[in-house]
Amino acid sequence: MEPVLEVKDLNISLKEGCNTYKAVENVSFSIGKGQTLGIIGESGSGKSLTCMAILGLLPADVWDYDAEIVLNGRSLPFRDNKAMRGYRGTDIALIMQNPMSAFNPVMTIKRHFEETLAAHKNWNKNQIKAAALEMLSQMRIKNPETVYNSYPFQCSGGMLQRIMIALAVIMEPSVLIADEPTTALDLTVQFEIIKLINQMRKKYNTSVVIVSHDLNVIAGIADEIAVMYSGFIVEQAPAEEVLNSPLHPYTAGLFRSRPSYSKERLSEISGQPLSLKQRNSMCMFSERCPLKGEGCSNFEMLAHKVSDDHFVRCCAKEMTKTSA
Amino acid sequence: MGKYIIKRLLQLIPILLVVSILAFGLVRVLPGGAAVAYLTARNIAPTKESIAAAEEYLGLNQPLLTQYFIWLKGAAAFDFGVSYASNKAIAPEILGALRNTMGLAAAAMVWLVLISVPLGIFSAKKPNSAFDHFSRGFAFLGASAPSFLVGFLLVLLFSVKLNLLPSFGKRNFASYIMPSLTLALGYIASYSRILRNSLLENMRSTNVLYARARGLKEKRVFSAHTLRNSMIPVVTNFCLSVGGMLAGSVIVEDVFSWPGMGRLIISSIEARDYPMIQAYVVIMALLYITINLVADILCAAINPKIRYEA
Amino acid sequence: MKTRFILKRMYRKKSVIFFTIILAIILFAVIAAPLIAPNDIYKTDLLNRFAPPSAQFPFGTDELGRCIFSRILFGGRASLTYALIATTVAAIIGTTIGMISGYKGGRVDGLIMRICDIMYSFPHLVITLVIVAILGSGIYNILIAMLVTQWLYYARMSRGMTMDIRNQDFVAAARSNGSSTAKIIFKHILPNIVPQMIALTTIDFGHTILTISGLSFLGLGVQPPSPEWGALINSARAFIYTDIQMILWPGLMILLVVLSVNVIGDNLRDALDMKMN
Repeated sequence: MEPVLEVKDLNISLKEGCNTYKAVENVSFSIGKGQTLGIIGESGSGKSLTCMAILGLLPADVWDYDAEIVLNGRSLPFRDNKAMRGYRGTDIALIMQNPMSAFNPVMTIKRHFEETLAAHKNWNKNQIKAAALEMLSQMRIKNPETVYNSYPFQCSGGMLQRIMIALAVIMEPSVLIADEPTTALDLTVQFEIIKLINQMRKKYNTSVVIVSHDLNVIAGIADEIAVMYSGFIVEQAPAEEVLNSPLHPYTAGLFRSRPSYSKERLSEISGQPLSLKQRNSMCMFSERCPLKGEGCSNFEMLAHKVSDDHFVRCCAKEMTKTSA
Repeated sequence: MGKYIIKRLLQLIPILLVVSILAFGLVRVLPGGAAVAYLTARNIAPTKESIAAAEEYLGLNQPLLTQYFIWLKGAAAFDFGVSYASNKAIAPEILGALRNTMGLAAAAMVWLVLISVPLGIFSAKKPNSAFDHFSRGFAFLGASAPSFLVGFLLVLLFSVKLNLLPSFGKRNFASYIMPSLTLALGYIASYSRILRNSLLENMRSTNVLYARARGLKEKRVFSAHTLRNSMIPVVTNFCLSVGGMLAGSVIVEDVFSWPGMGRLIISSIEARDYPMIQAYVVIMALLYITINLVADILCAAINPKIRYEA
Repeated sequence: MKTRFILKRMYRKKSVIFFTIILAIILFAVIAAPLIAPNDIYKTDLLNRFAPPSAQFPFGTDELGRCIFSRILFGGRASLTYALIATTVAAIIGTTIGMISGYKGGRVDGLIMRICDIMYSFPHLVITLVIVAILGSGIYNILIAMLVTQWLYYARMSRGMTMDIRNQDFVAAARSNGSSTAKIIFKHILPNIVPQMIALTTIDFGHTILTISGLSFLGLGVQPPSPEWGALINSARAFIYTDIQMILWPGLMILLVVLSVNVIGDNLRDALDMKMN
């Protein structure tokens, strides 16, 4: 099956004066139609940067990046802001982390819909309103008309996130990128939002890239999971494989540290990830790794194919399948 | 929106009352008394008889409250009585002066928008460039230069050397140019910086990023999101400064012999023309209160949060 | 020491160094005026009016043949001293009121804030003019008028800062030790707000110079023949066509002093800000 979105060898560096620091290295993945890729990682792992890069939203004066990104068979001109404008909102849509600050506080929800749709389609105000209200009720919003006419500060975080999803899906994009969509929300609302995203995916056959540091969120929705650490994808495989038998020691550590009722003490991965400026292109996890061996600090992060759809970047010979 | 306006209007009434009492009381606290002031202004020697006659003439022998109400009644109808110095009715003179000052301030506001908006935008588009540093230096200079110096330098350049513009008085359209520019200079300097800083902050904000992510054209992102949100602090601050501009015109009017409120109050102070001074206080107070009200309403119109919180 | 750290931060910029030097030169010249002024400022010489700059008269002479340079030096003493007095007194009174208001809260605070609000909605120049109208012209009346209008800023700022500090633990600790209100305010709160207040005072000093010289220019402040900078420009008005120096030099002096003070004050405030971060 032809992949909808293909990212090959994405490299992002931060420019500061005369120095460049590598933030994301050699990230590649592809997503099929209607599939969900979950990217999991801590802050600083590069997952949000990856999302922004696909959309071409990284400011050129701060970030330097290179990749080959193919959407529906066509190469994405991510460096050309003007050209990318045509794709944003229509072919690739974005849902952001803090809906409370993403909306313009002095514009009504109505104006947000109107300006978004006016940028891509020729509908008149009534058509826009009809489509928007339809979308809002699909989002399980009880009084769509009231919400449509209100200001963002009058809506709750969960409500705004639904509106964001509505705005994203209204143009039926091929790819939906959700950057930490539940992080800023209450626990009770998180589940609803993930359910909504899943429903939309099924309805419009949209491919979804969902980024989070929350394992439960990813586990609830992803078909395939990529685990990022220090700018690299350290493990990537179909969801069940990663969840049930994680190979990379970092992934295993993550799953072990999930709170659950049966355990008495939370296990943790000791140490802290290194900051951007302290990294080099070797295995940055080795200092914290329980499987640390001799060759680890010189390991050049080569991908080791465990099976057709599962690869890991780890040189430890003792990588064993551990239970979650 | 209407409810907000009515609420603010109602809050005015007590303030106006206080102002009227203060203005009225002004003349009563004079050293020597109003009668002496009147006589001095008319160049009549203040003897016991002349003082008594003056007090009778001015109605100063009546009970205080009566005097207050008589004065208040007149003031409400914009009849401020007669000037000590010129013995002519005050109202037409002061209202004419007010018109001239407001004309000057309006012209200054035109300069303000014309210069500081582009200056702010270009400084923000290329931060820390040579242009940005230049505009920062200009801002400091504008805020530090005394208006009389600027005024005279302009006169020197454009009237004396180049003979292009009239150096004093209010005669034609051209005579507005230099005085209003002088008045506006300090404000241009600071507002261009406020706008620049506001723009820089907004350019990296989340809602601008989201607007771009939705596929809006750059022009739209800039005008409807970046610029629009940046203007809010600028407009808010500006509304507060308009009052200052009207008062600061005193010096500019003096430099350019502009027949406005500033010149009027100065000459009234020198001539001890107290009814005129009284009228000045009342008019300025009214002006300020009105401006503040308009400013509040304007800010509420721009920023819906204020409306809903009220 | 804290001060050294802030100073080091400020003086990283070339412009700050430059303007401090300029300010220092002007201050020195003005203070040393009796020693370095080449001529008597009241000595007139009607045969030598409007003379161009020369060795004996570095800035030339005015309409009565007096030495402009000497008059500017002595004028600076007037301008700067009055501005200093006005600013310092307003700062002290305003800060004290603000601290008391902020610390005590309640009715006292409410009352003071109401007064501030009312006065805030009028521009100072109007209030100053009205006070001058009642009391008459002259520099002392101007100083009184400025005091009445300037204390507001200091009060507001110090009140805000006091309210922030008041809630911190060390204040509660002092209270539980039984320290009196006055002691707490002056020993604990004041030292913490002094740096910011100094920054505010520096910037305000510039505004005060502009206001005082402006009022003297209008004829309401310092009276001739006292050579205050604003008054000098006032008397030079008639001669704008014949001798621009008379207006230029005093104006430039005012500009330089205010500019220097603004640059220093602005950077001082930034340096303090960063320290807070």
